[in-house]
Amino acid sequence: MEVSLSYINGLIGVSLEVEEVTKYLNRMQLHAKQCASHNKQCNIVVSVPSSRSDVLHPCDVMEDVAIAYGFNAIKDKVVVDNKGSKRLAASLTLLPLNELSDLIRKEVALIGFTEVLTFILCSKKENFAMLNRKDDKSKAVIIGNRLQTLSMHLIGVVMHPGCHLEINLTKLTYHLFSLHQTAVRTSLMPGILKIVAHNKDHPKPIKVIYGRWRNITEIPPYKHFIVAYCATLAGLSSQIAYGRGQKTSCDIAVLDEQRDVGAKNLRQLAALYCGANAGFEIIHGLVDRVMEKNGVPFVSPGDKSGYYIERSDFLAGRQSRIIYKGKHIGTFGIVHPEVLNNFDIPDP
Amino acid sequence: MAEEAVLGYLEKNSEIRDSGEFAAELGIDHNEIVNVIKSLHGFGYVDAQDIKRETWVLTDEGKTYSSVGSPEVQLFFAIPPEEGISKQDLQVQHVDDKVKDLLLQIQQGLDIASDEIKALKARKLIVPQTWKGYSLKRGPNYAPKRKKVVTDLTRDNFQSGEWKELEFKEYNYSAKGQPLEGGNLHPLLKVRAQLKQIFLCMGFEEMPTNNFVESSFWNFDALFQPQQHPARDSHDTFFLEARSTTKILPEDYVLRVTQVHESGGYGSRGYAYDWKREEANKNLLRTHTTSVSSRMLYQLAQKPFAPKKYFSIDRVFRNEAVDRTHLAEFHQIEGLVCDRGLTLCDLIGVLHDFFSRLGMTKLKFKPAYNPYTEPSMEIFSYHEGFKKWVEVGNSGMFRPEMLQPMGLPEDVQVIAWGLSLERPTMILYGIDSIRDLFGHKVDLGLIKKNPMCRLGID
Repeated sequence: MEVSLSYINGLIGVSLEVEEVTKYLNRMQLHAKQCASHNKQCNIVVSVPSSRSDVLHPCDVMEDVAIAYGFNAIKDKVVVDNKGSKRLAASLTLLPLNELSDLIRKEVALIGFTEVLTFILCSKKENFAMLNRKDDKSKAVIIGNRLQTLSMHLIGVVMHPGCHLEINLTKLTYHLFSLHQTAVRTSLMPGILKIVAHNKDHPKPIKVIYGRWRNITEIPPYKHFIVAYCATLAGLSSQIAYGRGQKTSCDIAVLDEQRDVGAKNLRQLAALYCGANAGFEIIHGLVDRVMEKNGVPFVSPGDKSGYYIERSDFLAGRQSRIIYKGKHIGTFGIVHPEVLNNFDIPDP
Repeated sequence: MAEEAVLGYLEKNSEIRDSGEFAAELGIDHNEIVNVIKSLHGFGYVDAQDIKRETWVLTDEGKTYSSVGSPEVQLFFAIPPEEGISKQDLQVQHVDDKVKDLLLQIQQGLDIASDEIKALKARKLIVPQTWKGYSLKRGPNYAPKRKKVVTDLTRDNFQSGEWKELEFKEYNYSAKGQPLEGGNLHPLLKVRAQLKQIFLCMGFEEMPTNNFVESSFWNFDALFQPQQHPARDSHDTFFLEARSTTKILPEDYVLRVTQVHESGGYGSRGYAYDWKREEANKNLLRTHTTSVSSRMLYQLAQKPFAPKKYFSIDRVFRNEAVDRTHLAEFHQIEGLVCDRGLTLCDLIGVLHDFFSRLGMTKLKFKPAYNPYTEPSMEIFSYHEGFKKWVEVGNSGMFRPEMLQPMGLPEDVQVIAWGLSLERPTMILYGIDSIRDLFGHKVDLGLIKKNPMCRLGID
């Protein structure tokens, strides 16, 4: 059988001289020698013994050369060849943060929460006062440009140097739904509470979640966790099955002096339960569920190998903190009744 | 009543200096006051400071002496006045009972000199006693009246505004929350979804594998597998009884396949046997998804050539004995690249890219035999947990005897690889019996607790 040197080199992806090839083939018990040829083409004559019934085609000879050369020896050139190869240019990657968010969205939906999607823009009042929080001027991204048609009382909005977010006027117009749009939310809670306020006639209980996670770079790889959960109160009958909840997954914007633009997004998750009673134990169950689906064990306080819950003071002991590996990564509890009143959630 | 008295008093006065005196004034037992103070302090209604006073209390012997006098005095008075005693024996005409006086003073709470205290203590007539009380001030949660304690914020107490007056019971944070009803995704299919994502990111498109019944022609013959190959025996393949034969095959292609099997061509000398059409017409449950690959490549060859990257993940069937690591049906993962001028080097490069996305960064390859690929390589990955090399898949370049009868150009090469879905899933999740994962005896608890699959993420 005659096999060309270019065929062998071409299929293996190496550059061997004819002497090397004949040496390898002889080592494999295929007697080979270079063929005296009138052409410039370099051929090798192979004498195949009768015991090698598997040699049918020149590709079988090529394989013997590759075996003698060593499959693993080809590895040294793989990286360079692969990177330079135009045939393998498509080698893409999805963002791990978004992939993980999608996985968690599905897990939370499987236990009966419904996803919602709300606005990023909100009023400063909603971001702080209506949540019984104080604005320490260090978290909210304030919109600096305003439409002339907005009410006079917005003229006095204070701009923070280097911390304002410019939005295309068309988009701003599109997103406006009230005259109080002066800030980018620093928490998912205003949007999620508004969903409940505007769905008063929806059968209760309502279970709502909002996606919320810290950036991957802030915590060890492979683990991502909840920042906020809450339970709230509203409405009529607890006889309706739990199947109807709502959830969403979104980013929020907070001030961060370490970024070149002075702000960054945090990926977070928020959830809300609304029924005849506060439902703290249901939200607590959701915390446990999300931790389990991330492969994180429940441990005793102080143990850094998993997560545990500790008390935090807000509405007399109804708020809790989630501690994971010694870090405070989340909070859950009953929404303060005054906040419920602020968002006009039934019925006071 | 005691509670109301304490809270009411503090409403008008800044403090209660001494709980003992307070109890005496009200005519309430001091212990009752103390219990109330402890409870109020626990809830933050009052701030309580401990008061301790040490006093001396008579022992039983001491009480006897205080009522009837000390032994010495009793002896003196025991002498009959009439008889008298001899003058020489009489030493004392009169005696004062100081011991009795001291005991009576102690009983009345008066102060006694310390040296006399010591003397009485030595005779075990008195013992110390500690009295505990409190001085009180208003606490951070002070209110004139205690609030009711409830378990939860409810619609009723929220809407009525009563919540402002309520005291909520403490939560037990060492317990988990209420388990929520809901569904769970199967671990195997979660891994499959992530693998599909990986293939898409590498630019592969999915092949249609939605047909479990296949003809022997596409499953074996088109792949240049000889008809006498052991894999085509009935103890390795499920052959069908109903609809046992194939109806339609591309006849011109069948002719070329027949010829390349019998006498070769395209540079090959063939297998030199008599090829039988009836054998190729037999229907079976496909033994690998490469049968779909052969169909796709044949269709590709019917058009002007264009490079392609295909993948599939689906069920295949083998007539195998079932044990803890083998089933008669399982999921096969397959990927292939079809292009001009591909080399073994390209195959190795793709394998490193693919397996590194599964977390397998150390690979090595071993020669193997497969009838339709040449070269053929087994893929091994070093498992850090097992501390050994584990076979993870198979790979190779399709033979020219398979490709060229289809009509593909001579310089077109196809590189391909395959592995099972079950094996990496079991390794990933630490499952040691495949029946826990797949089939009638699947472990529902395992499906519920199973974490998300994050292959390809990070």
